[in-house]
Amino acid sequence: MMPAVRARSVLFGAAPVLVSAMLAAPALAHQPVMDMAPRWKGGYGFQIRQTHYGSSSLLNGTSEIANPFGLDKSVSTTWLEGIYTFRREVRLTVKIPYIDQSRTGLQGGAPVSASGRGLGDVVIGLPLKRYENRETATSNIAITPSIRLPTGDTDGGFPVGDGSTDFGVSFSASFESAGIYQYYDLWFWENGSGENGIDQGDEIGFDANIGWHPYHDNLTNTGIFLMWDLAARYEGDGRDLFGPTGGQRISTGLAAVYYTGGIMLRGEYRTPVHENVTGTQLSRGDEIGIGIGFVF
Amino acid sequence: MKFPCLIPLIPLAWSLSVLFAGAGAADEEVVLDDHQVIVQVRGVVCSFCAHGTEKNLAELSFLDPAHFGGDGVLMDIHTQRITLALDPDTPVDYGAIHQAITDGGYDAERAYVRVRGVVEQGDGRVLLTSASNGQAYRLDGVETGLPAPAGPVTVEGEVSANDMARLADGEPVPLRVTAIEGAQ
Repeated sequence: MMPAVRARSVLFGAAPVLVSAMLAAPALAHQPVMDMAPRWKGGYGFQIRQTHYGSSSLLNGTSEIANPFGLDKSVSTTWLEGIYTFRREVRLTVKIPYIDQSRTGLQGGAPVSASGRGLGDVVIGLPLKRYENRETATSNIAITPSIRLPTGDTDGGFPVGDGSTDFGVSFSASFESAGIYQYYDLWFWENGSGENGIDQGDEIGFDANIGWHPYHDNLTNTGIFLMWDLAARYEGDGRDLFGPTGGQRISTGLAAVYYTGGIMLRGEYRTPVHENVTGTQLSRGDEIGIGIGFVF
Repeated sequence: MKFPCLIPLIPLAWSLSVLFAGAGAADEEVVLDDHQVIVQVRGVVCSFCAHGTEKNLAELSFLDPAHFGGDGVLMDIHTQRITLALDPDTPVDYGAIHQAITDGGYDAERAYVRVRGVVEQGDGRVLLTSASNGQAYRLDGVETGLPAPAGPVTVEGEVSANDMARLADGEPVPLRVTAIEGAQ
């Protein structure tokens, strides 16, 4: 289960929960600060986000089963994410995770506790966008090739890296008016075979963010976004030291964004509404995240 | 499984957003004060996204930073208009405004201008010279051949995005006149 947990952590860090705001969503799949910013030539930004998920619910397929050994998992990740905009159509993004995680799993029929901490696998993306500015709205479509580098440590009982170089691509579209923000992203990761017997399956996902912009003050450029977030994931069958990985998952939740000038704060919560795991695995559980981003 | 219940929300939200977009206030009447230029900008619906545009505009030398929170720039995301507070003594560089908005990721549509000055006629065209900074405007849509007003007048009009982009230094600014006050 190790690689799956690791990969999920990375992916969720890279997954949209935004907006750009429009907006205001600092946690987009391939746009670290947000989908819509910085869209100006020479613009740059960074954000720090903390995400957490974990569970002690044991699943067999779609069914929750008894967990007599007290198996559980907890993963906290601090993301440092940066972005540079060469011109509105071309950006470069970098996501650097620091992972602190622990779990209790079964090895040889007995529960074993393990933990891992350190720099995870760095993700680099190249969003290529085409914007359309209209009278009362703006929108863009984008294709984003990405690479995930094996920078995370693969040693220990719960390693923060799997040692593989992975390649991804995302196709996204967003639409924004003064009152509504929407973002849709269909993405794919081809996961290479890792070290120490870790071999995570390829992944395909779909993310949707729909945001409402109930408040904005023109003079101070301050406002709030409220968003509904949907994330669907399919991960091909794989293996790690503790057993099979892979499955399907759909989760949904809410995010709130406060922004003023070039600063944005974001908080989010997401819970699984459907999970179908390969073999027996722990549920991913609820996810929470907070972040602060800056653009210049 | 709850997911199928959520799927219909996507097209619903999309439809709502189109309705919201259609209900935008871009056609709201423009109210110009003295020493201001208002630029209609396509797609400015989010101040965080347009942070770079505001930053670019705030660097223009002919603005009066004493207004609008200290940078002379006010973005209204509901009308998609950016108001610039002007230093009355300095001519306006419309090309620089256009470039700042383009580099900011947006597209200027037109600038709304209000100028007080003296009207002159010659070579089949009508010119307005600003009383405060001497900048010349070519008044389009004004009948030529009539006697010029004896004193200063206040003219309101629009400068198109194309004209903003291609104006040469010292060339009179083409202004499509929408109102003239003070003319006899």
